[in-house]
Amino acid sequence: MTNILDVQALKTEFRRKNTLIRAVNNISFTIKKGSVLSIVGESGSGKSVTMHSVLRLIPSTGKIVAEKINFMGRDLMRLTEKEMRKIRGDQISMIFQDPMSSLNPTIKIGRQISEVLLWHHKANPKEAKERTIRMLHEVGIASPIERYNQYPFEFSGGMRQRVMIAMALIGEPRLLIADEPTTSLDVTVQAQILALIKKMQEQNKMSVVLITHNLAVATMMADEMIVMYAGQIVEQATKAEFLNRASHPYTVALLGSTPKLNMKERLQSIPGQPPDLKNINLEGCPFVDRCSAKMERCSREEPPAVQLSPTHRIRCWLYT
Amino acid sequence: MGEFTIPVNKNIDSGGKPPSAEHSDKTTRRSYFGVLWRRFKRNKISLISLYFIVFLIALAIVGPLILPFDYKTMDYTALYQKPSLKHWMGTDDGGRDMLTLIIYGLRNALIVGFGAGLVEILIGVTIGALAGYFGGRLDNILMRFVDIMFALPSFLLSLMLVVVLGRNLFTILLAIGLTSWAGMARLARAQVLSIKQVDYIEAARSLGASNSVIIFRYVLPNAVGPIFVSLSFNIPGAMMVESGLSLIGLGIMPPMPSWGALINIGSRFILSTPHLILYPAITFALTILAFTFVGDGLRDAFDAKQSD
Amino acid sequence: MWRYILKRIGFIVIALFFVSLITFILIKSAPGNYIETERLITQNLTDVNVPPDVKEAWEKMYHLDKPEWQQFLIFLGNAVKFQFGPSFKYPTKTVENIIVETYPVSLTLAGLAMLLAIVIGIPLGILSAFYKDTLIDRIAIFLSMIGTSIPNYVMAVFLIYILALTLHLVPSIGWGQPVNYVLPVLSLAIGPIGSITRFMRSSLIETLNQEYIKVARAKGGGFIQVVIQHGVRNSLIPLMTVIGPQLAYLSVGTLFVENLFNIPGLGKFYSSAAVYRDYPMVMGTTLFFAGIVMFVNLLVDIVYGLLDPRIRKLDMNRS
Repeated sequence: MTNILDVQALKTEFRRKNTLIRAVNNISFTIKKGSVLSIVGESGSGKSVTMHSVLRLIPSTGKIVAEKINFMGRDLMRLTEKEMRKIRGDQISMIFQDPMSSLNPTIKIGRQISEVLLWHHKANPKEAKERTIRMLHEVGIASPIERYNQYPFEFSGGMRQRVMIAMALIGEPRLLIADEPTTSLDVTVQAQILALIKKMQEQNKMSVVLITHNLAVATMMADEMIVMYAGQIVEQATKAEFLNRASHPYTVALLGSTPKLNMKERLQSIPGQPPDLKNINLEGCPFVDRCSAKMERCSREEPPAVQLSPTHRIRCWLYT
Repeated sequence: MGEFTIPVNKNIDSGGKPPSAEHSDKTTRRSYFGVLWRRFKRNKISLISLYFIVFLIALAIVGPLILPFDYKTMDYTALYQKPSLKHWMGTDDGGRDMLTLIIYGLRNALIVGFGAGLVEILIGVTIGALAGYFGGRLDNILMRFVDIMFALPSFLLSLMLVVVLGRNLFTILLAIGLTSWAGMARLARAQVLSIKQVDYIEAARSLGASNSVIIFRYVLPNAVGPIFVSLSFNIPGAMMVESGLSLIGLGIMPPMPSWGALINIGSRFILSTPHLILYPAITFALTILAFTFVGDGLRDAFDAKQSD
Repeated sequence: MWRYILKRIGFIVIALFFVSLITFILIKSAPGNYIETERLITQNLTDVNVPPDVKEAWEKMYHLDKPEWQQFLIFLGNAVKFQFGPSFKYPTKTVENIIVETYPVSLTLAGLAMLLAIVIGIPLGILSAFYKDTLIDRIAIFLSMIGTSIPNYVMAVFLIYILALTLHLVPSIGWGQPVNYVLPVLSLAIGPIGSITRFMRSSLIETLNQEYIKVARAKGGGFIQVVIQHGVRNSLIPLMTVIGPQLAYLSVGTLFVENLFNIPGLGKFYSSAAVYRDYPMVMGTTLFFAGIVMFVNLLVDIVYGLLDPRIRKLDMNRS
C-alpha cells in the first residue's frame, strides 16, 4: 500500500507578543491510502494544529516549517496559496468539532454544501444542487429537497454534523480530516456519526485522519494510531500493537485511565497538568514531570525515537 | 505570492494557558481614579486632547480679560484684513478682530457644551435612576416618555425652544439640554438596573439603608463611568447644535459671536477672504475632535475588560 | 410581524400627536407675531401697530380669532389630511405646497449622500478589517473618526476650500447644475462614511474569527468566497442598524448644508420660517420632519426583520 500523505519534520510555531509557542514540534508520520489514522492526545497536545498545518489553515501569527508534506506526490509546502486552495475541500476536506458554529447562520445549508462543487468548478449550479440533494440523502437527512433550502438554525446538532459531513464529502476528497467530529454531540448521536464516517470511508475508499481525545472512539475507528504529547508524537503503532503492546508510559497511563468502550470521558486521571508550551523543557522529555517511570537522564536529554517493530515507534529512554 | 491570511486572535487550539502571574505582583493597590488615570494616559492622543481642552478652557477664561479688542466695536478702517501682527487672524467684515471673535465663540461653545451636558445629566440621570430603581409602574410611565423623547428629532425641538425662549446663552443651553437627555436616561436606568442586582446592594438594604442612601451612596457612584463617557460625547454634540443654530440664524443674538454665525458670515466672503471662514472652522473642528478623543480615552479607561 | 408593525405605527401616531402639541404650545407661548416681525425686519419700521382691520382679516384667515384649543383641533384635523394651511410669509402658497416643492431637493441630497456613503464606507470597512492593525487600517480608522465627529457644515467649509478654491475642481457657489451637488453631497456623506466604515470594520473582524470562516477556507474558498460571500454577508444585515439612524439624521441634517450653500431645499425654508416666526410653516414642517425620521426608523427595522432569515422564517411559520 502506498502513502497518501507523508509528513516529515513538521514544526508549527505561534508567536504572540514575545513568547514563542511550539505547538507542533518536529513530527513525522505517514497515512496509507484508504486507511484510518487516529491521532489522540489531550487538548493542547498539538493534534489539531498538526492537521491544520497540513492544510495550511492556521492563524496568521503561526509559522509552519517542514522538510516536506507530501500529498499524492505533491509537496504541499511548495504550493502557492492559490494551488493550495484547489486542494482544500476538493482533495483534502475537513469536518470540524462544533457543528453549531461551523455553519454560516445566514446561508442556506444547500448552498453551503454545493459551494464546494461550484468553487472548484466541478459542476454547474443545477448539477451541484442535484448532487447536494443526493449527498444529503446519503448522509441520512430525511426529505433532503426541503432541507436544501433551510438555514442552519433549523437543524439539530447531530443533523448539522451530518451536513458538515456532506459538505466535506461532496467533493469526493482522497483524504478526510475529522477534527473531534463527535466531541460536542450526545453519546447516541456520536455513534451514528462515527458509523456514518466509517461507512463513507469504506464506500469512497478514502483515507481518514481522526483527531480525538477519546481513546475509545480512536481505537474503534482506527487502523493506525498516533499519540501526541506537548507537540510531539510519543508513540505510533497499528491498532493491534497499540491495544496489546502500548509501551510509552504516557500511553500506558492513558489506557489505564480509559473507561470502558463508548463512554464519553476526558483523559484526566494522569497526575499533573499538561505542559505549558511556552515554558516547555527543551532539554529532556516533555512528559518527565508526570512520568511514573522517569529516570535521571529523562530531564536532561531528549529521548530518541525507538523502533519497536516496523510499524511501532516510540520516543522514550526506557526502550533504548 | 497572492497569499492571504485572515486576522485571527482567538485562542489557538494549542497554547498552554495558565494565567501568568507576572503582572499582579508588581501592581500595588491604587485608588480608583489613580487606576483610571493610568489607563487613560496610555492613549497618547487622548492625553494630548485633554491638555488641549484644558488649554482651551483657560483661553476662554483668560482671553476676554487680556485681549486688546472686544467683540462689539466695529472698526471701519480695518475691514477684511489679512492676518497681521496686530490682528493675528485678520479682521472680519466689520473690522473686528477675528481672534477675539473666535475666543468669544470658544467661550460660548464651552458654556453651552458644559451647561447643556449638566442639564442632560440632571434630567436624564434623575429620570433614569428613578425608573430603574423603583421599577414597576413608575418605570413604565417614565420610560414611555423617554421613548417618545428619544424618537423625536431633538434638533427640531431645540430649534423651536430657542424660538420661544429667546436667543441668549442660557436659553440656548437650556433648549439643547432639555431636548437631548433621553439617551442619558436610558443609560442611567440600565446602569441602575444592573447594579441593583449586585449582592452588596441587597446587603445594604437588609441592613435597613433607606432608598436615598442606597441610590446616592451605592448605585450612582458605580454608574459614574458610563455616564461620564456619555457626557464627553454629549458636550461636543451640544456645541454642534449651538453652532448649527447660529449657522441657520437662530443662535446667540449678534453681535455676540458664535462659531456657527462666524461660519455663516464667512461663507459669504469665502471667495475673497477665505480666512474669515477657515479659522473658526478649524478651531471648531479641533475642539470637537479633542472632546471626541478624550471620550474615546475615557471609554477605554472605564472599560473593565481592559487589563490592570 | 404585522402586529409589530401596527404597534410601531401606533407609537408613531402618538409621538406625532405629542410633537404637534408641544409645537403648538411652544408657538403660542412665543413672544411676538408674524406681522410685527415682518414689519420690523423687512420694512424697517419702528411702529409695529397694524391697522385693526388688516389685523382682523389676517387673524380670520389663519383662524387666530378662535379659542386656542379650537385652533389646535383645526390644526390636527387638517394635519391628518396633510394640510397645514397657507404660510405666513408666502400667503399665496400652502405649507404642504412648499413641502412638496422643496423636499425633493433635500431628499435628493440625503439620498445621494447615503448612496455615496454606502459605496465608499463598505469597501473601506472591509479593507480596514482585512488589513487590521496595518497602516491602511490606522488611516481608515483616523479618517472615519474625523468624519463621524466633525459636523457636516464644518466639513463643507474644508471641502469648499480644498476642492473649489485650491484645486478648482468644482464651483464653490451656484445651484441648478448637477456639478453643484458635488460639494453638498460630499459634506453630507463624510459622517455616514465614517460610521459605516467603523461598523463594517469591527463587525467583519468579529465575523472573520468565526468558525464557519475557517470552514469556508477549508472548503477551498479564496478572498471573494470567504471574506465577501461568507464574511461581509453577515455584517450587511446588522449594518442596517447603522444606516437607519444615519438616514434619519440626514433627512433633517441637510438643513445646515442647504443654508451654507444656499440650496432651495425644505431645510432652508424651514430655518428661515423659524427665524421669521412663520408659524404654520414651522409647525407643518416640524411635524413632517418628525414623521419622516420615525418612519425611516420603522422602515429600517422592517427591512432588518425581512433580511434576517431567523425572523423571516419564524414569522412565515406562524402565519
